Amino acid sequence: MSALRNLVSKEIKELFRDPKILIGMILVSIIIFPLLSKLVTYSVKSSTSLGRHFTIGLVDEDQTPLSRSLREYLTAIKNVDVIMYASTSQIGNLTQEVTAIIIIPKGFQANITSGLRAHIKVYTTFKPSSIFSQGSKGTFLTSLLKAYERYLSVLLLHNVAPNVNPSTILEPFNIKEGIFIKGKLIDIHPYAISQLLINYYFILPYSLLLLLLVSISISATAMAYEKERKTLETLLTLPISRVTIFLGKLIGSIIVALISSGAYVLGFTYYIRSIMNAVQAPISAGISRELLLKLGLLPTKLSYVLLSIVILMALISAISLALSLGAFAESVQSAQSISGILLPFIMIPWFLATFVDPSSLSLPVRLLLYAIPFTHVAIATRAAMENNYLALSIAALYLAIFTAIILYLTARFFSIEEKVLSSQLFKRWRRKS
Amino acid sequence: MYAIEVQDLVKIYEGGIKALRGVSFNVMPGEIFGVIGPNGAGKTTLMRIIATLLKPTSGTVKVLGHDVVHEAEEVRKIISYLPEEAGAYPNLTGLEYLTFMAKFYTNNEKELQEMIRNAARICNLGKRLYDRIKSYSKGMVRRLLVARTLMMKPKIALLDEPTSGLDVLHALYIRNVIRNYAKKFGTTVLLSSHNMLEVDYLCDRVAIINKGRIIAIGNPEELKEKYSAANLEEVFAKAVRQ
Repeated sequence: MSALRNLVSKEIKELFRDPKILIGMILVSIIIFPLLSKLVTYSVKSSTSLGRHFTIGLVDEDQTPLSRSLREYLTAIKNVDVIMYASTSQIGNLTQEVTAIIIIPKGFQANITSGLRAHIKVYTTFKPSSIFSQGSKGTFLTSLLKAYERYLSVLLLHNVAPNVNPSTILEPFNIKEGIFIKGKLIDIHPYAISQLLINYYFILPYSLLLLLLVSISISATAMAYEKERKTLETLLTLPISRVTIFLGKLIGSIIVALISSGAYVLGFTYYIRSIMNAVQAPISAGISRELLLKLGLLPTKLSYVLLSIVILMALISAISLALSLGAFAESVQSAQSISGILLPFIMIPWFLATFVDPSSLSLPVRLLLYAIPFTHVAIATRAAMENNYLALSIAALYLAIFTAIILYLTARFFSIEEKVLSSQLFKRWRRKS
Repeated sequence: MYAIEVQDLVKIYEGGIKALRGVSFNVMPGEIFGVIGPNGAGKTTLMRIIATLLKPTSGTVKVLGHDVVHEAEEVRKIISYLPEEAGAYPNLTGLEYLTFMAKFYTNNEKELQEMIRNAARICNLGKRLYDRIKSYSKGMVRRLLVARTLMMKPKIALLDEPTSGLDVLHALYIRNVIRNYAKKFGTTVLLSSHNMLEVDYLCDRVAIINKGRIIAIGNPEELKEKYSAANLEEVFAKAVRQ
């Protein structure tokens, strides 16, 4: 045990001091994502903020009491400056920078008072540098004008029917949204639910895929690093078994992969949440985790346990495969290329199982998909959400059998020193191909 | 019992390259035995078989009575091997590297510290032991590796070109360390080199190997006398021609 602990501790020390992992995977994730989210949040907030100053160029071609009331309405709004122009021909000679130009065409009042629909034209100033805030500027102005429109409607209705409450005519009924789930009607806005579940339905499967990919990338190069640095020969003559060396690499890779992808997921989740909160304040605040659990929308403890077994098995088998494949490589670079063989077996079934309903596929394709062990990680993630214990157990059992076979083969492979020391098998394979 | 017993050792690599063609010799306990020969003579293959890294095609090797093929794990407890082109982990400090290696040989903290002190004396790197190995020169790495090989006072040390990459003064220093170590602790040393001067200075007995065969064996003085040569280089040249 002490030899294994010694090896694992060396692996972790070595990997964490490798700038590619420390800076490339961990520091970048926990520094860049929060920084990026601050930047995006700032840009979103500053572009949507009411505190921002707007200068509007107003061309009143109508010159009627109604068009003047719009001008007064705009002028009364805090942080909005209005510059008047007599006609559109003056706009070309603008000296002051404006956020937008509003044109009230001739006949504005006449149309409204005669029961016709009037028009207002809004032109937002376009600058390529402010492309991200373009939409929000337009939205802000439109919402200002919509408020004026409502004020005008109330005024007109009052003139026509002074005894009627204008609100009941403008909005005769309210819509209250809810969800229908498992035969129950629940008064929760569907958007609120999806906002809460994004963690489970998007971030969790994405994190697991990332974890598998990071572990493969780390472990595939583990043996090649030993060869490239000429440390493998010494390691293989130490009084420790080959299986201990293999386990040291396996456990070291799992720990580093967990921490690296954990840092990435933390950073990424923070980034996604900050942006969502900046764009729209969470409306899901009143919904408790208990309610979601009661509705069967969250995995139970048993589902989590079964899913953890699936993840652990997938990690062990993926890393064992990557370690064995990487052992054929003479250099780190070739180890990375060789481990690329594994990626389609993880990515393709993953995307198929995540985004396509497997039951919609033809039987041979479905069988092929289920035969690939890593498909079951995606299937298990979905099954955990639905608390489908049978599917989870099948996935765990299938991956456990696969992992046991892989571990046995890898341990046998690592007990043959010549195969580990040289890359004869790979060279032979390369010659044939 | 011999410290190392090699009998009719043959190694044929895939592709038919014959690295060893029936090598036999014995090394006595406490002896410094040198294997000399040109590049490609089979020295490293011989070392790797004794170090349990390669399996022989035929023949046997026993280390203190243990077969290197069937009792490889036992053999690894006895030997300490320094490969010719060995490296160390660049992201560890010299001290961390020595501690990592020492922990495979003892669980006792006192013994561990003794091994590390021993290694520090051998490599003589001083405060540089606290620096990462990636900042070391080639010579410093080699000194660290020699120290790693000898720090646990092994019964048998297999040293493949121990002074390769070292300048004259450091090479001399390491040769003295090896000689004193073997004498003081009774360590048996099997040393391979193509530096005839080094072998002449260090070894009690020498085997000259060429094209996978031992062409001469004996103590340096006997060999010089037998071949009427002034030094081992001349012995080698004459033995090859015969």
